[in-house]
Amino acid sequence: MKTHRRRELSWSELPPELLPAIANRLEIRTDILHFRRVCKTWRSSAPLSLLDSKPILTHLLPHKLPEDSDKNHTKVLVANTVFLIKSDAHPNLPPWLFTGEELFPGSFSVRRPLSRNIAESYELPDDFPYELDLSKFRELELGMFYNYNYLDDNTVVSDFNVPVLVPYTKMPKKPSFPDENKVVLFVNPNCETGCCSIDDCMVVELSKEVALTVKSLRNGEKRKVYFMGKRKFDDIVCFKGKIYAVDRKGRVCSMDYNSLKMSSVAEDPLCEGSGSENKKRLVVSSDDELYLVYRWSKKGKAAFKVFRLNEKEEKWDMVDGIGSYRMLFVTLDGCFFAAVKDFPGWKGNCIVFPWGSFPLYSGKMTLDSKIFMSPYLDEIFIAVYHFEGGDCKLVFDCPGYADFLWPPPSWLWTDIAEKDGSQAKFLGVDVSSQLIPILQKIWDKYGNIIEGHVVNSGSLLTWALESLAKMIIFLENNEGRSLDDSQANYLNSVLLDLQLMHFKLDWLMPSVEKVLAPHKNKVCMDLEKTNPEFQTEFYWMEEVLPEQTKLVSESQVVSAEEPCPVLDLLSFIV
Amino acid sequence: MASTSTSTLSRKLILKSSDGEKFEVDENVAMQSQTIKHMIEDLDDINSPIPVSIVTGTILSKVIEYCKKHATEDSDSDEQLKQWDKEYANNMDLNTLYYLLLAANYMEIKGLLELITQCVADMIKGKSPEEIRAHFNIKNDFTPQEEANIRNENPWAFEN
Repeated sequence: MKTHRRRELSWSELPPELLPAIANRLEIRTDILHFRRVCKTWRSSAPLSLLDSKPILTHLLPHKLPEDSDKNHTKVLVANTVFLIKSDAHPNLPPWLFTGEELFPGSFSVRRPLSRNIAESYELPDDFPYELDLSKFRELELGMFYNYNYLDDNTVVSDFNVPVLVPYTKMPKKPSFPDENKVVLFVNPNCETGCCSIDDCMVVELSKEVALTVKSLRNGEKRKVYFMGKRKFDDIVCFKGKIYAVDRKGRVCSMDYNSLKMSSVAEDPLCEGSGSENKKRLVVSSDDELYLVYRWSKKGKAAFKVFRLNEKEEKWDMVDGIGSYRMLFVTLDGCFFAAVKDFPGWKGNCIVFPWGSFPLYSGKMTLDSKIFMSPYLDEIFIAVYHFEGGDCKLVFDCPGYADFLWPPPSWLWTDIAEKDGSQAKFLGVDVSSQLIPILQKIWDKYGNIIEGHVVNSGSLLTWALESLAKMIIFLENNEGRSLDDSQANYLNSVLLDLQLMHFKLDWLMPSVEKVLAPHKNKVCMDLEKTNPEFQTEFYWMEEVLPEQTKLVSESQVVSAEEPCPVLDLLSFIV
Repeated sequence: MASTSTSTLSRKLILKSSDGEKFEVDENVAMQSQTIKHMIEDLDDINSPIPVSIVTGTILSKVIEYCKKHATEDSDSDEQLKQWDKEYANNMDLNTLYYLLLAANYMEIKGLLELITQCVADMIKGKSPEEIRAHFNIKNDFTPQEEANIRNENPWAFEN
């Protein structure tokens, strides 16, 4: 009897037409991805298109809350996650700290770093992809948080899942999610992970009201929960299967899923008077400890205090910094620790925080105005406080730090050739092979832009072509970013040199001006004025070049003070 | 079990399993199978046994149990019927599920097919590829190289 054959029966022999019927019933992304990894037949039965509109971050969200919506907007509980994305192929490149918010299931909206704001499409690089194959990268989840967002009900979703907007003028104002508000998804701790449904969830909302609002996602029932003695809540966090809350004085209480009643954890306030005016934030570490952090003004300068909860003795223990092996990141949705080993070039024992994340209860922003006062016109308002040394700087003033944050690095979606340093020919000129694709692109688009150039020596042409390609890379990498003096000088001087050689670069000027605009460097604008003058010099240089070369190689002396571009070129050739 | 009263005019059909076992069922029970429905349309002699060629008696009896339950209208609420379905599927061992799936597919019984595929999908949920293979006795036919390539498969989409 067939049916009595035991164990040797293999499901890989199942008729292939039945497998899609099973795969189609999988709701969760990881289940579909696991299904695809079982064997070849199963893989071909579950195409990647099954993942379309399946949530990435958690199968529970996004979750619409129609009962809390107004007539124009549907309120949605959304998950957002901070990832650190590293390139497998190029481990030396700085990783990208990426925050994705999943308002539409299966698709991320890119947030500005450590901000609640979604980056506008003009803020993203032009070629930022619609899809990304993560298999080439390693993504590290640093923290998952929640927020409310609002779907515009006037938005029509077309067949391709692309929202079509109604005219801007007709759009009613979208409700906002105030900075001081925070939501935490409270999942029934008795549920096995992966098996819970939205019916096993509550959402706990902190607002400027005295009570927390706890709402069951099963039936929409709402309940107000008060701190002991009806004190004002300052922060909430999910910790050890409960909601832990802190008041403005640092007193702690917790609430379990079943009773939804607050009970005291630490009754005594933090040391009397300490930080009584300063916003406090809770953060859970990977080794399951609860920390409290606040910023205060130490003789007018920003400083931070950190405490660890000592539940046994019902008090906070003050700690000296957070340890040189990790950093603390702060967002309005929640805080998270990250290991310094994942952030090459960074120093540990620091707190990274955006503008407005540590307000005074009075609402005054004195300290923020001081910290974020900067010549940069960029909107990336993020500062770093190092416990060691006690200095508080903008990320842009910490070399290398900002590379992790913004803009999204192009290695995510472009293949970078290995740096092998090999030479190849472009238009008969020796050029580093990795730069050729860039030059090819320029030629494809703008034609032979060096036609009629005035360069005689081959090595100078090599330099010119390579410099052009490198400048394009530089421009791409620095789009939307402020340049420092030396970067602006580099750009100006290379451009000037190339123009002197009669390269046709009109097409390049808008991008250069865009990058230089915030820098307010006059060189670019003066370029045309000075051009004829330099050209004369250049012709003279061509005449005396052989002689000068000889001279320099003999003496090996190059005068650094000499501002004349002749010597720059000379020293290069030598 | 006392059969619920159905139309007294209901005809009886005889289904014959692959191993020769015969089952007498009401026509409306058997008609839930699209395959059988088509077969009787072409049949002259309704009294001769209808062969269900790839389904054994053990499995066919289970199929008929399902069809009987779903043929009796109005007797149960949707909720009760769902509960019954759940218990029915949960009582099957893995091998029975396998042949039941083949039978439901061959006999074209939509409800049963949905029930079993859902049941199998539920078994897959939350399991790693390794655990799925062990559970369903499937051989990993990927080369280590192929496996390394697909291990990190994780496409992301962006709104921009």
